[in-house]
Amino acid sequence: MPGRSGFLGSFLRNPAAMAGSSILFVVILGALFAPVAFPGDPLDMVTRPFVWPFTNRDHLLGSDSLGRDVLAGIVHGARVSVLVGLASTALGLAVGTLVGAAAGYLGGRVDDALVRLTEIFQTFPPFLLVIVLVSIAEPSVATITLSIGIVSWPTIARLVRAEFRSLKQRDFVLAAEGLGYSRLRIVFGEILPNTLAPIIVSASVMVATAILSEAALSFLGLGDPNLVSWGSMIGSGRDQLRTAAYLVVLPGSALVLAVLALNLVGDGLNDALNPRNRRR
Amino acid sequence: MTDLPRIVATIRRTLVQAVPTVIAVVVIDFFLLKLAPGDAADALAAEAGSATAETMAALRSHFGLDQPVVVQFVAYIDNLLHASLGFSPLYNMPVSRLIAARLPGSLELMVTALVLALLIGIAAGVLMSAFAGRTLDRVLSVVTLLFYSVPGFWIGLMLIVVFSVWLGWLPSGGAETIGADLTGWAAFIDRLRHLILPAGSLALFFIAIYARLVRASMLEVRDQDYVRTAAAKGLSRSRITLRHMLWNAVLPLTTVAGMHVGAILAGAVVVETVFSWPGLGRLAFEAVLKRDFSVLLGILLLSSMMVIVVNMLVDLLQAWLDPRIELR
Repeated sequence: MPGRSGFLGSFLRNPAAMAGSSILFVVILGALFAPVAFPGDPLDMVTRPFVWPFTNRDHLLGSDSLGRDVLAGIVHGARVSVLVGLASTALGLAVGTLVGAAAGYLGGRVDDALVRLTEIFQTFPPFLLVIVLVSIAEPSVATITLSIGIVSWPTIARLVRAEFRSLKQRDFVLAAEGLGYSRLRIVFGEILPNTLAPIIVSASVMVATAILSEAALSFLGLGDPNLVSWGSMIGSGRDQLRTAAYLVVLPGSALVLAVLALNLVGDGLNDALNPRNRRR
Repeated sequence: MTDLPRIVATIRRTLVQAVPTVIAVVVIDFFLLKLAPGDAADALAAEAGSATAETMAALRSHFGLDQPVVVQFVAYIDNLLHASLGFSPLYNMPVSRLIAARLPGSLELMVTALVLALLIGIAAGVLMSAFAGRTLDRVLSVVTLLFYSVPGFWIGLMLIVVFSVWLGWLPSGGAETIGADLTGWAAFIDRLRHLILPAGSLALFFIAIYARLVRASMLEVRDQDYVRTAAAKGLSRSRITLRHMLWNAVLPLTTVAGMHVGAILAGAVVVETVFSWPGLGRLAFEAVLKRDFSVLLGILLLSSMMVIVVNMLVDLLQAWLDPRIELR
């Protein structure tokens, strides 16, 4: 097993991963301090419509068709993306880990049933199921988070199950069983910590996918109507695509940068946590 | 040939495995439909503007909505067995007919995108593995990661800005020039021009996935004995790459094909909306806007069935291609 310093060192030496981390840091800062930096509702009209970017010092990135500040929208939009990304991933990880651990560790009938359940969920096209769930419930940050979480757990369940199946035969688990540890302690105290590396790598991709799903939902008009999000900004800017393309370009660039940053970090984590898989 | 019994056994096994999945999907679909707020009677009443309690009751008994849930479920199954996905009160036609009208458009878009993604993705993956660790590999790695991160709907809008608004080379939406009444070659070119931007937007994400997968499996295959043998025989490097390694590196792509049918269908929802493409995805979106859940769930059910069928075909394909895949 690589030492902690080995892992950190190889992550810190990876320029792509560091670039990704820096972008993420900025996005999280924006999400945290949006109400301080841009007080007031970003959905309010603050200036005349269609101020072009870099033409007005007070509204650096211009304004949209309703005179709303684009920069304020982008910074506030980071809140929705970060919140939905993290919360739905946490939900997906929790459910997926529980299902995968139970299936992999217990085996037998439980395993069969849970594998079946996972397969059934995987036949639904993920984003289509999210659309159906969100439109059945009322669109809000909570229902969007819940829907994305419900759709994302099967991947983790499969991964955790495979890890548990291979780890439960190992000496350290047999030793723990011999010492009379309870099953719960073996699962959560002994096996789970050893499966964290692949889970962490998948989590970064899950956050990216969740952010993309939320953006696509808001773009289609299924987002939280009371909050500004990158997807909803792109959706409303779409009508002015021919005359004011910056209304689509700017929030979209924020979205792409955030997702790219997560994927860069994910790749970096993967390389650092699995030194054997490093690029040859 | 001893292949036939093996393949027949594979067909039987995959069918036996698929049946409970199909049943579960149908049950989940039905109860989602029951969870949805409002029913067909509400929708019709809303459409008409107003309705008395008597008309509502009459409508409910007409659609069987006043029956117990179990009876409704049996009716739903009976409908499905007769290849009917229910009735859309808002479109005033059977859901299956609505879907059948839109399916060809979606298939055209999805197949084009998938073929495009396979061709470009495999080519990029082979190039990356051949130049592993060098500049070309690095550049392509960054490009594929970017493709992987860009949402289809946004890149679609960007392509419209560049190729329709600025350059004026390609149409910004629709599947053909309306009212042009073209035939033969001109009609084909016209459709192709409409297809390029949406298919490209949809393909981008899959190009990235295939390129990365092919790169990884090419590097894996490279160290195997038979490749060394081929090199020892004095075969040229390009011949080894294309004739010996590529086939084995591409085979793993088929395992993810089932998952990608679902993903590409979902991608089609947003891309079809952006390009006003007359397909299932846009139908799903219209159904969401009109809160027509019978249509939405019909599409969801059909999508799940497509995923199940493709997974079965992949199992068969692999059993046929790789005789080592044993029967379970």
